[in-house]
Amino acid sequence: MVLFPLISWGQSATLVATVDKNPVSVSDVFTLKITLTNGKATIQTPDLNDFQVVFGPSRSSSYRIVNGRQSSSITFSYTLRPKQTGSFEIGVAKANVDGNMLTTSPIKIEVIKGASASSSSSKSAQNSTQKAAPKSTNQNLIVRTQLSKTSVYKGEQIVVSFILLSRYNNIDLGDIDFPTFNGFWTEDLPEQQTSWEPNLEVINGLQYRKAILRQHVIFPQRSGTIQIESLSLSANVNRSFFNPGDNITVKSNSPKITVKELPDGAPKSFNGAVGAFDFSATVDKSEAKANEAINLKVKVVGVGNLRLIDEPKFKFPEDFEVYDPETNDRISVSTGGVRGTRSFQYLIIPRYPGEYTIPEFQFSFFNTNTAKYQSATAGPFKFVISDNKGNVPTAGTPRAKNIVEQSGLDIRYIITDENMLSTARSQFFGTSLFWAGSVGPFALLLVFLIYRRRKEAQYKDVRGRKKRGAGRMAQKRLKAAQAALKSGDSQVFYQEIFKGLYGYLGDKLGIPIGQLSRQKILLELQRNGAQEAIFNDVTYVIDTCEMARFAPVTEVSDEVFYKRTAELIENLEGRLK
Amino acid sequence: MKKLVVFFFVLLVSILAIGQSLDYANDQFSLGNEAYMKGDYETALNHFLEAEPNTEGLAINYNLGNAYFKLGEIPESILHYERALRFDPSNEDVQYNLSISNDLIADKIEVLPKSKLQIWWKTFRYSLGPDGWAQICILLALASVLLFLLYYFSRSKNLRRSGFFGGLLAFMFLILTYTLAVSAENYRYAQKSAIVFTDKVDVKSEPRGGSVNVFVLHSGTKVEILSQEGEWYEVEIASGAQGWIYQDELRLV
Repeated sequence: MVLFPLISWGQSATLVATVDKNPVSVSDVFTLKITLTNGKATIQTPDLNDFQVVFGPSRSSSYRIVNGRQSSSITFSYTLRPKQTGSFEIGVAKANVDGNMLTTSPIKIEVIKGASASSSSSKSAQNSTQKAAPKSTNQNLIVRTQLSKTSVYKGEQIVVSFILLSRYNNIDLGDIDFPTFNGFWTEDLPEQQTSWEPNLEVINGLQYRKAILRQHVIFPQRSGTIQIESLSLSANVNRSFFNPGDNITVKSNSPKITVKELPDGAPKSFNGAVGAFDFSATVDKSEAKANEAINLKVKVVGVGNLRLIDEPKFKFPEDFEVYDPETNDRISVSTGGVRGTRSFQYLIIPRYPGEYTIPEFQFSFFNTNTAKYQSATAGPFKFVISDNKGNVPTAGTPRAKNIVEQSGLDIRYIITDENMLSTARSQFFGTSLFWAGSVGPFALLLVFLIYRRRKEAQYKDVRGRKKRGAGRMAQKRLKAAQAALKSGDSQVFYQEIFKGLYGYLGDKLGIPIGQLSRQKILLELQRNGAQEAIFNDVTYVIDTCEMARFAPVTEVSDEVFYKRTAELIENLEGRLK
Repeated sequence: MKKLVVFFFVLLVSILAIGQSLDYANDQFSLGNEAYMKGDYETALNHFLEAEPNTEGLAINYNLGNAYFKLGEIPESILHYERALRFDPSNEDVQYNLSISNDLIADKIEVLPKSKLQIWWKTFRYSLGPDGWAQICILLALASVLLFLLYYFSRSKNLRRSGFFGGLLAFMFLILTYTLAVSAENYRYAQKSAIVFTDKVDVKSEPRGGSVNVFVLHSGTKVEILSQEGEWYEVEIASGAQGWIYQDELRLV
């Protein structure tokens, strides 16, 4: 055990142990360096019993000021030679810096037979004239795909870094074949020029220079195990004025990501937002006039898949005219992931006065920190819209018509009118009442017609008999007149003639005895189309008979008058059928 | 004389009995409506079912369909809507509710589209129902008799002529109306269709349990009945496919 008192100062102290080659051959020597930077402490060196210390420890120290920052380093070097082949471990070195115990990582040294297998030191690599075939496993050039997490929920972000580690001093990067991320939504970190990082990386005791080739933030879109393809890189190393250099192709690891499905029990409003967010919504006024614009601003602030957050679906009142929201992103992508603000601005124009409410809106996301769903609400927003008399849409601008939209689906209401009920099987059609109503009128008509026909026939019969008897009755009456004529009673003679003609005409023309008069007879004769001569004869006979009642007839003898009357009746008999 | 008195007595009693059963149906109907209004569909359904045997027509079937729908029993609601349509095939409320119910059942069967004229004709034919047409029948019978009498008695030539032709026209319309009444009656009572009530029914090629399954129907689907063979019905669905269904799987509209 050797204790070295040291004096050091600076910012954060580091303690690193490195070897210059690994594996080494039995016959070879190698260097172990233990470096303490920015620290002031005694270094407890590891046990080196497995090796023969050829030289050392030699101590070197440096002090630098770069860009106003001072740094110091103290290095202890040992030149060691292995004692035999096999695998040996160099233990940890320790240093207590201001109460902080710093340790190095143990280094595993492979000791092999013969000459050193790999041209390990940069110096010897530079000197080798032999052209090495491109190897995919090269100790001196490593590419790595580094993930911030390997087990995530669907939609949770992962930072992917492609890292180049090199031990070559002189390296020209050729083609880099970056893998594609199938099944991921990818956000690229702003690209920077690839440059060496100031700190060296120690892997298995070997020091590497480190550069970040590219970084992404990826969001898995499906669950399951997803393997990221490896990156392949070709580079030309060790080119110098005398040396064309070697072409090397290396491949990175191909890590697997386990993507867990989001747990059940997502709120109804969950729409795929994963991360940690704050949600807020504000309106710029709650009282406005009709046709005056109102702004509704929705803000989502946080870390996660911000760009996949959709516009919130508010239930706006039907009388509001709402324009598609304007989406504003202030999102930065860094090694810390995707963070920032996504905001949606709605322009709302209430068309009619009244009181309106935009109901409460819920925004839900899966919080990756607590592995639970979380909801935030905004609203409800109440608006009082007053009538805007001065700004009524003019006739020239077509006013947006209110379309009455059906928002819910349900059956229509029942019938409540009891009068709509009817007795079971109470159909009227087909009943005897129906038949009575529809066939009855025809039956009645038929009965009526038959009855009437029969009556008419009877009536006609009476008239016919009278008609036919008229001639005979007249003859009888004229006989009475003849008897009167023989006896010389002129008064009776004319009476009998008058009675005979009246009776005859009454029967012949169908005039009842009560209605029998000179006028009626003439009227009926006229209607029956009697000839003028007959008409005159009838008038003459009646007039003469009436005259004879008061004074004796002188202008014509009784015999002649009888003859004329008989002729007239004979004539009438021929005409009136 | 004695017989006549007995006849009128029996008539009176039967009219009173009919009136009473309708009164009961009315009471149950309004009780059901009240319960429905309050959202107590179960009670509403029981009252409507109580009223159902004593009445028929659009209203009772429509309300029954609504109550069943609200209780989630879609095949029953379809059955009653179909029954309601028997009484008024063009009623918009029934058609609307039926279409909503049909959207909720498993089977979607393409219905052949109908032309405007076909729809109008169907609406016209069944709009008045058999009774409406019967009443018009009687009016036409009276009109044609009166017009004939006009022809018979009038002395004016014009009146006689219009009486004759008017009467003839009225008589022809009478025959047409009678045909319409018959067809409306057939539509209401003689037409045979049914609603499937089993969740899933294999429709067979023959009226025999072991025969080939032709197609599958689900509850709520309407089928037309073509014939009956023992306990099996030969059915046709709206798309034209035919097969046999066991009687227990169906309920007749």
